[in-house]
Amino acid sequence: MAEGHLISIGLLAAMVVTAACALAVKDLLTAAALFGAFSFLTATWFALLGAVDVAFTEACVGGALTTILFVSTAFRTGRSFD
Amino acid sequence: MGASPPPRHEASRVRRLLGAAAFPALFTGLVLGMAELPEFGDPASPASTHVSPRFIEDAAAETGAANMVTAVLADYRGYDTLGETAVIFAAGLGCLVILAAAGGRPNLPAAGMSHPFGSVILDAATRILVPVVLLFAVYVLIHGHISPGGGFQGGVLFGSGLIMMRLVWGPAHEGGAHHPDVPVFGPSLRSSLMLACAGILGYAGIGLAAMAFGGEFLNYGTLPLGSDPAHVRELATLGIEAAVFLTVAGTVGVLFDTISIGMRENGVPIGSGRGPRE
Repeated sequence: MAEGHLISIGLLAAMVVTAACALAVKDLLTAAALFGAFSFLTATWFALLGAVDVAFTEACVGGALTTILFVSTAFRTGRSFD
Repeated sequence: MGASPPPRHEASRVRRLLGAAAFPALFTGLVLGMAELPEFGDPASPASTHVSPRFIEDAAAETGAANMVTAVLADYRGYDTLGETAVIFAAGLGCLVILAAAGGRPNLPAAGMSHPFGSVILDAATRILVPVVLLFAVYVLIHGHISPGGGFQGGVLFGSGLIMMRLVWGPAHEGGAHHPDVPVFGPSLRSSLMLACAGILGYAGIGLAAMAFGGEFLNYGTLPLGSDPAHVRELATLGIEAAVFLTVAGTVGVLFDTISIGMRENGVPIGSGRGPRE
């Protein structure tokens, strides 16, 4: 149980860091990649909690699909945010 | 200059003060209310003592679905899932209306990269990966009632497989112009939209069929699919999952096409890394 808690805390801390970085970076492509990383951390955490179906959905939608859409949109709007 | 209309800034100041007072009050109320809730994961909470055991004990026998998540999503709470599917469909429609129809040409064929960013490695990897991804998507759909997965995840995977091909090899209507030997296929924007429509209509249709055979909306027990009620429900659940699969895969195609069509119309070579503002 304690180990599970430690992994949870580590994952959640990594999620906070990733989210903050995604907001802070200027390059939209980097931000999209960071959002993808955020989604995979979330999916891992869901799997750790035993919600395998939700983790699967999060990995598909958050990790793959929205990352693709973000990247496509980043190319459409121009890459840097100022 | 009477006093009838109060100066605007004064009214907004009162409003801001009210807001500033209301926020901590609401926040405190919510936090205090949370203390009354059962502990997170508490086995003695009402949800764990009454609701969960009912589903854990009876779901497999009643619905024929070993994966309880699917049993709950597609059967017990099928009405919820119908609403969710409709929301996804509406999101795709909204994207289409805003991004594609704004350009006045919503009937364009399937879009894709106007310039390939494929390298030899990317090309080879895509050739191997795409068939596996598409097959795995169908597996996830069909196995949804046994293992984690179902129509939603399968649909996203299938749509992602199609997008992957277009990203690397170019638009489907050019027959994979950048790699003439590679048979690029995929639905056009119009077909994607029709797939999504067929999915959501099929979902509602299964619900209505259950009504037509004397049951309730989305209560599949009355469908004439066999004598074993659990088996009937299993088949109906598969139908529901397939409908969700179609809706999600179609919507994914619509989303990608509307975004990339907009890029082609603006003359931005997709994948070149050059936006109009650079």
